[in-house]
Amino acid sequence: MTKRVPRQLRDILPPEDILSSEEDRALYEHDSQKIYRRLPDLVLFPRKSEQVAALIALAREMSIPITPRGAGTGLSAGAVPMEGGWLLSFTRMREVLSLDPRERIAWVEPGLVNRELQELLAPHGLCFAPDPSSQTVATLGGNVAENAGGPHCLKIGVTSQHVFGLELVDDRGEIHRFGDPSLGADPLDLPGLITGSEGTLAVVTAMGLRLSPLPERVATLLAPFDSLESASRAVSLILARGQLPAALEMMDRDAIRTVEVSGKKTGYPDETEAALIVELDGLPEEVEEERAEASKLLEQAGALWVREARDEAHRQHLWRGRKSHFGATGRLYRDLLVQDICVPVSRLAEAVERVNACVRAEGLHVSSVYHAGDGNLHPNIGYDRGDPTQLASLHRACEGIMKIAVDLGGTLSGEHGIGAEKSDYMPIALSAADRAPMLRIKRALDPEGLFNPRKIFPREDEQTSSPSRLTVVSSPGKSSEPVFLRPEDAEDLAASLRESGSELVFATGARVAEEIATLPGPVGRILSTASLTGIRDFSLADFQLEAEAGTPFNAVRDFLRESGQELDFDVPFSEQRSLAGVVSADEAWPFRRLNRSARDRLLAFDAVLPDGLRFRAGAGSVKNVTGYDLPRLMAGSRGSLAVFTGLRLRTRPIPAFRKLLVLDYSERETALRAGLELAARHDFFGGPLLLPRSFTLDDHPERPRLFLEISGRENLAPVMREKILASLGSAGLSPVEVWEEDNRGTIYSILRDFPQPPRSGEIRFLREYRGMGAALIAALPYLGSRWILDLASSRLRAEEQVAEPMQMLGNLGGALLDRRAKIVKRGVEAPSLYDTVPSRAFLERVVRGMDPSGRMAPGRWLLG
Amino acid sequence: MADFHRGFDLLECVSCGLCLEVCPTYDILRDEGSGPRGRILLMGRLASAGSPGEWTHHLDECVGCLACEARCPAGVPYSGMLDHAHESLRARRPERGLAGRMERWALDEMLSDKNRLDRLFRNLRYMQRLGIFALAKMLRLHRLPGLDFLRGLRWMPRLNAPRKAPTARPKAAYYYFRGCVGPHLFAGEDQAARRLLDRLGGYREAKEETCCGAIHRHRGDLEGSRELAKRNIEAFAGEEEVVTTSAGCGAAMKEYGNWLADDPAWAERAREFSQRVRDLSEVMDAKILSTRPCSDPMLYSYEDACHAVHAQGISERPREILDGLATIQRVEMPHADRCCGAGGTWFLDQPELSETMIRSKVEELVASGAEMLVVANPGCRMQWERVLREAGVSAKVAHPAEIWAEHLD
Ligand SMILES: Cc1cc2nc3c(=O)[nH]c(=O)nc-3n(C[C@H](O)[C@H](O)[C@H](O)COP(=O)(O)OP(=O)(O)OC[C@H]3O[C@@H](n4cnc5c(N)ncnc54)[C@H](O)[C@@H]3O)c2cc1C
Ligand code: SF4
Ligand code: SF4
Repeated sequence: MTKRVPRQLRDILPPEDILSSEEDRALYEHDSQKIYRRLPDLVLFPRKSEQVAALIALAREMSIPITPRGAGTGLSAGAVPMEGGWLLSFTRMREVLSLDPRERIAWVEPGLVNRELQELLAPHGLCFAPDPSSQTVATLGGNVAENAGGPHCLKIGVTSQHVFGLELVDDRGEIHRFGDPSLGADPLDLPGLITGSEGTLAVVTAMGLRLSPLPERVATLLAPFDSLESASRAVSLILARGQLPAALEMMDRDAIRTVEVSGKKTGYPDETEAALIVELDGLPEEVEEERAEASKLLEQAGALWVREARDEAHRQHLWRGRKSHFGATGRLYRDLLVQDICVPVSRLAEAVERVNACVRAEGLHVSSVYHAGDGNLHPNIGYDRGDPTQLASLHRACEGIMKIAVDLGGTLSGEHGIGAEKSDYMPIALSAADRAPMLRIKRALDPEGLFNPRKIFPREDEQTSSPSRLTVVSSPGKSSEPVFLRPEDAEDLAASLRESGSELVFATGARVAEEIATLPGPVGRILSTASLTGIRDFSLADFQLEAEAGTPFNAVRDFLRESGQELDFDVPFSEQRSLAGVVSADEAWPFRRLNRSARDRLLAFDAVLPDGLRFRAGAGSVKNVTGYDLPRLMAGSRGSLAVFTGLRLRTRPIPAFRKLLVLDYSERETALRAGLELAARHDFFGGPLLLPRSFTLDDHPERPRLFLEISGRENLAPVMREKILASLGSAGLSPVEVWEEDNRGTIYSILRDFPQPPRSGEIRFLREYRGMGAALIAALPYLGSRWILDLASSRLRAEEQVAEPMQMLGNLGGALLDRRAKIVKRGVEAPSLYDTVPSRAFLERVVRGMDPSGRMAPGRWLLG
Repeated sequence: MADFHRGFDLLECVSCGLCLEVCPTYDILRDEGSGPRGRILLMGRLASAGSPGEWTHHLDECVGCLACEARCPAGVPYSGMLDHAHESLRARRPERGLAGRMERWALDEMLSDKNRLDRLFRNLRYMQRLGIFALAKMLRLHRLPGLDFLRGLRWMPRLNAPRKAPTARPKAAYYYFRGCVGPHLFAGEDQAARRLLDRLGGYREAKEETCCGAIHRHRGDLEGSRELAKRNIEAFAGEEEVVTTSAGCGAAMKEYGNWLADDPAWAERAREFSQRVRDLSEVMDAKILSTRPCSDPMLYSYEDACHAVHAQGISERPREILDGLATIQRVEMPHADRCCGAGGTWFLDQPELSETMIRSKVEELVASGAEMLVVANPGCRMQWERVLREAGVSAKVAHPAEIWAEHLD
């Protein structure tokens, strides 16, 4: 049946961008997980953000549900319009809005195909790191909505780690744009919340993406094994070394055979039961060493042989085979359903065995590929949709697989999302309380349930009533003196929150006295987590640690050191800080590096909502798209959403060396240019940090000095140093002197002694603003002798006497921050992305979702 | 592994979407109906639906390049499905009007009879000399109702009489399948092929050779195509390999085994015949070519004809043989294996899509800096020559046979 197209809709889209006939709509009934189907009422092809905004405003007016769709390669029925309505296909909205190869960032529209972006980037020596096997056709919008992973996400992180900004349309049809590529720029990681939210919170109309340099050297090893157990053992051996390969993929026997039949032969021995692909990349010296090491480990684990891809063509062929696996499995089964559980890597072998047994016990066939390094399993289950008993078996098998995942400490989905397909399994992983904060965010951002209905949340959640909307409390409680409380345990803390009524609450870690001294506003109740201490769990095999929120950060550090592990982000002044305090502030300063901050390392946590509801979020697996990414949202939220009671973090082996590379310059401008050059060119160091030598009572106090933090495996320090100097040399920015320091004590003491506000000011400048480099250079001469420029996170701190240049910079492209990272003044002349009022409104809606009455951490940074 | 599941014979589309990467029409239109995944669903609907509706334009828009089939990891037999869809469409939606009658006439009367075709081309050649086509183009006759098929004049290259070449030998290593239009439109190509085959051990011709049937098949006349296949199988009786310079004809003849699989009287003969069919590049021997050094090689780009690369998997070998020549140097276009938009006679039905496809290819050619484009199929060559002429790009177009023949030792 051809659907009628409302007149107002025809005002928004031309006829060729509307599909209304039944035959055309039927092509949009399902995605690649064909099991759920539903016909959309209309299929619409917006080409501009304004059209999307108008469509959503109209849909809201007419109460028509909206389901966004990319290429329809989803594997959780995420793009199926479960309640009909309008399907927004983004395949025709695919411009590259901007590309800055030097800063390695791009803004693109959601319909651009992942491969199309890669093709555009390759000539610049760049790539977009997430490489799902569907990258040849899947859209970047779909990648962002599902927080897609891919073989190469093991080392370099999943999609959310490469998205710094978003433009989206909310349920009211308003367009918001936010994000800046500076590391740790945003206290609240909104892009992180929307990434992986499967189109249920907002519709994404543009994405700011971080681009990565293509590796200098790649080596790809191939190793067949005669059992799945020995292949899994090889995975553990390789990971235990600490150094992460670029990719570590496993295929079982049937997977190998289907891939071989659909492409060129690789020639595995007959007794092959499993095969591993191990890819190593990085600096040439690094790759050489790792290749030798990995080969040895593969053999030790019992590989039948170990071979290396002959050349680039052979390598491409291997990957093409691996990435076609899902389709190739179509040769085996009439119908096909793929699962996506993720478990702690140490449980991989067990998971493989139990999953296979579970499926076979139901009389169904299974053939699997694994992103083994991440503990992510993709069992492909064959069934026949025409056979009702098989369908019933299939559902039992899937439910069984979910239970196995959770039982092993893992989760339902590592990268494909929950969609409509797994929503009813959600209670297996998350209790009603665990789902509550997600549901509250959903209701805060989409109260009418306009976006992608019947996804993620199980049917039973549709009944739960929305939280009552309390009015915002703006005045302090009865007394002006805050009550100080130190709950004994999490339950005690929850009770205290429950009884706090409408008081403004401030949670704090170990640094109590100092915190109280700097309280920004009137507070009714101060809750200290200082009594919640202790390590709950540590797994060396999985590189995971779980501890109580109030555990002193240094205690955690000392504990880990005994096992040769660490939290690999910089926390210089940690004496009085709790683990939760560090994570709440998303600490990683001053030598911040891409994908290495508290936010990037938080896997799971326990917390209490302002109304006393206790919940847990995240899982013991390194990838997780089971509901909204609450760990990313909470890390950095500075106590404004909920109170942490326990945290699970990813640990890393302590590197063989960690040094400071110090570069002296004779004048500020060259030093700054050098710093900007390095920040743009490379990812492999922390920093750069630029400061005048005056701090060290040098005889050239005005002259500047650049600090970089380098770390890694044995023997690499000279290689890194050479690389840095070569880059600078080729740009004509060589330093006058270079040396290495083993100790970071000097620089930390400079930072410690740096005057606090109000005797100093801080400014965060927008890296995306192109005039920024020039503005900084212009401001340098006026900065006096005491200032610190952190080029990784784009922050400048300077003493108050330089208020004027600071103001100038602020006006140009920055935002003046106070010590709590609260923005006190924004730039007006620069195209400040934060300045649009609706963006702020959107941020507020997220916060209000978790804390409806706005009584957590008053005045912290956002709503004060 | 006794239960290695019901064999590899399901070959059903699992909707993975990987074929969308290579589909030239999806690349332009970006909706499901314009890509293989959607078209497969539509073909299913066609098989069950009573009457085809407006939506069948999606099937007409498929150029039949078979890139999707080559890419599909599940082994979905797209081309076979498409043939049947065309047949079913043709049965239920007969072409009417002058254009329809012209098509029937062309398929039944001309393409199926080589002598008539030769006569037709002779007449066309005279008309071209007399300037009649130029006049028709100038008067824009194709704009008149019912005369839109005259658009085809744009594609017509300069017609030449078939030229003299080494003659066929009674006892020879190969059969030469000359094709219907090649010798008339591109006489040099035909002549080059004869010279090469002569050096490779001699060739003979089949008096009763007829059209390979590819065009009939594409227009949905499966029965007609089977009849032609049978005639060719009879005409080329013997052991010799049957060599052609046309990727389209080669691909079709390699499929005779499938076309006639259900005909017990012919199935075996057809399969045997198909196994003897060769593209010229497959029998070509680089040893007969001169490798004299050259200091200033000409830059060329190799275009994969769809029916060579996707249907026959021929892509590296002709390049390798050309790479052995010192006078030319290869520069690749990023999408050398993407359809140029000719598609047999498809360009006449879908001029806009066809134009978009070839235009983006021309951009790639220009960007590559090539001075020559090498392609091994007459339909593609016509499309390229026309668009290069219209776009004022000076690069020339050649068949690899012509280049090889120039380099005979
Ligand atoms: C062969 C094959 C291999 C795969 N391999 C991988 C893999 O290695 N790793 C991996 O992570 N996934 C993989 N997938 C799953 C799938 O490709 C990814 O989830 C991909 O990101 C989906 O992109 P899409 O454009 O097809 O989105 P769709 O399937 O169309 O949509 C996916 C979700 O995104 C939402 N969405 C789409 N656009 C927007 C937008 N603009 N705003 C808001 N929401 C939006 C939809 O509502 C839906 O919920 C694979 C799939 C296949 C078929
Ligand atoms: S035709 Fe093949 S490649 Fe295309 S969607 Fe179907 S199974 Fe996948
Ligand atoms: S044959 Fe070519 S045009 Fe037709 S669907 Fe396949 S790839 Fe697309």
